[in-house]
Amino acid sequence: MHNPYWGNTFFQFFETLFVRLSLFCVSSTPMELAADELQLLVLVLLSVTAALIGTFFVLRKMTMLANALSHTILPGVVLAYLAYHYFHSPVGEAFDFSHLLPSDIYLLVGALGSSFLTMFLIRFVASGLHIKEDAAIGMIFTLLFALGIILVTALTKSAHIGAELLMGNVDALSLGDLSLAWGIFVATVGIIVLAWRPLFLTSFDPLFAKMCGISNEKMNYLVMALGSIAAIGAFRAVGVLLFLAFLVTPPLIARRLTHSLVAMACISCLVGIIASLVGVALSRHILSFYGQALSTAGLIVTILALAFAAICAISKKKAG
Amino acid sequence: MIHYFTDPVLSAPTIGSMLMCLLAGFVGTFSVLLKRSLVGEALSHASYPGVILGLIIAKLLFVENQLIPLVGAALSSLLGIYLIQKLVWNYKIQSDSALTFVLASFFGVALVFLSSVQTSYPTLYREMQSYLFGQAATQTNVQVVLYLVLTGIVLTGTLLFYRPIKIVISDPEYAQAVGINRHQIYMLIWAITVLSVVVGIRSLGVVLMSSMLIFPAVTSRLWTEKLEVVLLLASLLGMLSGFFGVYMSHEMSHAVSFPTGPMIVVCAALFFILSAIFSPKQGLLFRAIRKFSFEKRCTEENLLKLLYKCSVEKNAVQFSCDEIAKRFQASLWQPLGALERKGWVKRAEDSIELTPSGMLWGRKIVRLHRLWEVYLVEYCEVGKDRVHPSAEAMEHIITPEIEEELEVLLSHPTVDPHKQPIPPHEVV
Amino acid sequence: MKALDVQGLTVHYHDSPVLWDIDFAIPQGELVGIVGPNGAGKSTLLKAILGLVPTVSGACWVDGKPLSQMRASIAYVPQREAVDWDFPITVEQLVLMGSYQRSRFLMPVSKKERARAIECLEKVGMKEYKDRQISQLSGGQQQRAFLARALMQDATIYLLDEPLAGVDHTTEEIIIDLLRELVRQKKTVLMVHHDLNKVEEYFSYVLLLNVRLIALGPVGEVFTRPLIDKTYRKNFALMDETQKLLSTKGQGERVE
Repeated sequence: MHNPYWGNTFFQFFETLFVRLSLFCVSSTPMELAADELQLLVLVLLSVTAALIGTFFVLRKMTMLANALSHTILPGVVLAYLAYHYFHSPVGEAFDFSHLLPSDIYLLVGALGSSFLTMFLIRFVASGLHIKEDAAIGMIFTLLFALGIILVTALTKSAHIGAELLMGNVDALSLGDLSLAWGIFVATVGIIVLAWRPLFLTSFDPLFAKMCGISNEKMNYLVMALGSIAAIGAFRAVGVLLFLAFLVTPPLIARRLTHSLVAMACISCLVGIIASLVGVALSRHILSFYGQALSTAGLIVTILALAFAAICAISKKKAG
Repeated sequence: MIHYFTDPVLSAPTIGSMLMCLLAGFVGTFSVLLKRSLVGEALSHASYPGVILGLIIAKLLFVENQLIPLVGAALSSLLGIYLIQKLVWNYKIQSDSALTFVLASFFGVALVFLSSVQTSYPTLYREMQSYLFGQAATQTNVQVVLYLVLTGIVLTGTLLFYRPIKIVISDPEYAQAVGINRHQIYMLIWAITVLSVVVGIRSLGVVLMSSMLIFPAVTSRLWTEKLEVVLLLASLLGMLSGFFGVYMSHEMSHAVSFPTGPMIVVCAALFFILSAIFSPKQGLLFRAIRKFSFEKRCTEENLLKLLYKCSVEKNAVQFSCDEIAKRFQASLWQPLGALERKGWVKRAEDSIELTPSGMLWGRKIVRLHRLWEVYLVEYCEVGKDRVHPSAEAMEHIITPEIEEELEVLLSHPTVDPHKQPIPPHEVV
Repeated sequence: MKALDVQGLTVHYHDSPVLWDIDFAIPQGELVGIVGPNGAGKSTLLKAILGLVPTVSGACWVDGKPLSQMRASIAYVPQREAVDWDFPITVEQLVLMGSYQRSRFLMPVSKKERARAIECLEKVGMKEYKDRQISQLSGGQQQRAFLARALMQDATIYLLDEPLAGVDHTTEEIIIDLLRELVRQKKTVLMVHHDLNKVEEYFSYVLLLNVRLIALGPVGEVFTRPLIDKTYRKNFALMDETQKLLSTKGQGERVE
């Protein structure tokens, strides 16, 4: 199918998008989703999901744990894939990352399992062996990541791992990814809305939360669990490392713009959406204009970083 | 194994990896002891855009120089730490958020440039990727010399500033009192961390670099507290991890390839796990042994105490096994055997005899028990019906120094709260 | 019926001061000041009563019932440092937290509760600050906001940890007046006081604490020179040392 966005520049992209969107709303004939639109939808969904749970990671000062889980998710994913293959595929089929079925429950289980294992190991090393928590985090995630790499190179029988693991590839996205991203988005929003009060209390005043009968430890596990499923939704589109930027930067931007928790969460989501839109449009523009295919995920992260820098500079000027 | 150092293909990767891991182990000790272990993680990720741009510039200038990406790495890393400091101090961002933000954002920028060469310059792309997870195999002797030079610089710098660094690490308040500028020392430590990162990313890759800044230092800390020994041990462990990582990666890569970087991390982790179990100071095995032997000693002393009390009651030193067994309420066999070995009891057919030295020791334990009860009742004003359980525990803990302090504090008491006499101090 | 009854409370905790075998009972409607030297375990006492630190032994009753059943009737105001004041909420949202203990998670805050929150803010003289970000408050204002949250809980017993530490004169007056009002309503207030000043002026009962309970009673009877001297002179370093030694050996760690 001819991509309607082919050759579009930055502003043409939004034109095309708007036209197709209006057509979609009024017309009764089914329209096929263009590649750019698919990417956009997936990115928007995952950036909103990441921004929402990222708000809590930032407020609870758990971003280094998010860093850890973005690394430890690798062996979790590999083991999940192995399990899936073991139960479903004929013997002898080559291990191939790009054909991993997105609707696979195994992936989510693998992600959750790895996040719980990470938390457990960190607690064990930090309190059982009397080692500082940040050193424990560093040791656990680098070890698990190294094991993950060994597993992947052993199984793919290649000597190199693609940067795609860390960078993602929006061009390899399929409708399955979209439904996974949607599912994760709905689940995350649902859980956060239901658990809003305990999340808020444990983030702000753990002692008060304990007095209300809320377990701070359980809430930490919940936040990590939500982080890991968001990472699963993200890893094929943007890679595990860039996912961190989606998690951390929008809340940081939002915090400088507002003083209310609810507004912070909402603005983070908005920032994520805008960055995704601009990123996809910019990527298309550069491809059309310069014939250069750049990593969309990388562009979005760069845009987020620049936005944060700008916001900091502006608010500092106002204050000082 | 020697051929790893002599073979022209293997020697550079081997020595290079050993050197960079030695350096990382050494330098990482400072950030671990400063409780800022994860700064290395941020610095290594922040170096990546510099590597990418360096490689692109080298390509544009048609230079095959390996130095340019490393210079780029250093500059980019320094920019990273500068931004982190600025965010924390000037913009009041939490330090963990600042680290993660810089880490991920720099990486994002790097990947934009990486993606630009993906299709057009595949060899360059592969080379850029090799810095992600490390590629020890293609190191050259020139690089090894470079690492030696950088290691030398780091060691010299550390030696020059050793005293202030040591003070800042062990006692920050004292450092301030003595006029040492903590911030300058921190900057120095981050600068040598950057150098270490620059050296290390070739073998370990950007992503795994921080592991060598953390593992050797934490492992050494399990063995000792002295800074000099920790530094030496961490360097040694780093070096060994570097060697065995290359060794295992090479030996094991037949049908399946085992990349060097991760294997080095696995080695370092194995050293850590072994230390966590077997270190005499903190290891789990020794802790279990100590705990077990303490509990055993308590049981033995309780038996001895019982025998002593029986001897005072009955004014005898020989008792039948049955009556003791009834009163002891636990298995007699083991503690009795231990007491016999220590010469505190003598065993016959069906009887147990308390020896004079056994009497002495039994008396001592009872003395400590009653002293503690006096302390609780008279000094701490606890009701005398509540002091027994605590004294039961304390009688096995009180050292001669504490015993003396108690004597002085309580003015040499002669009876306990239950009007029982306190045996006098005897030299055992 | 005693407002608060504590029996056999003992805390040995690696990093916090030891509390040993604390027994006391406080009658209803008193303003009790907890006084003692640094490291005496005053904050630990409040936390131990509430189960916020692990205890070796001890049981507490509120109004004759076990404390675990009576949580809704207890309001705790921790030290200001317990909370990160940079968190993005307003004063009103902070005070509304006080209603969370009784309500269910998913219920939005009702109009009645909002009105109550405004009332509580009025009582501490902070009504105009209700939409202010908590990071913009001064120390005294933060303390008052915390107190407003406690008032919101409509408890029968209030435990406060050094509410007068580092606050300005106005705040101190407002807080003491408020606490006196609570006591007039037959509520009980137990408060860690950070120094010996104004003990007689503020409190009806005083609890002298230094690892052990030295004395508890009406301020006239208990706040006397000999008892104060005893509280401040007693040195429990030996107790601390031996408990830590016991814990070290019990866990198999090497004794340094």
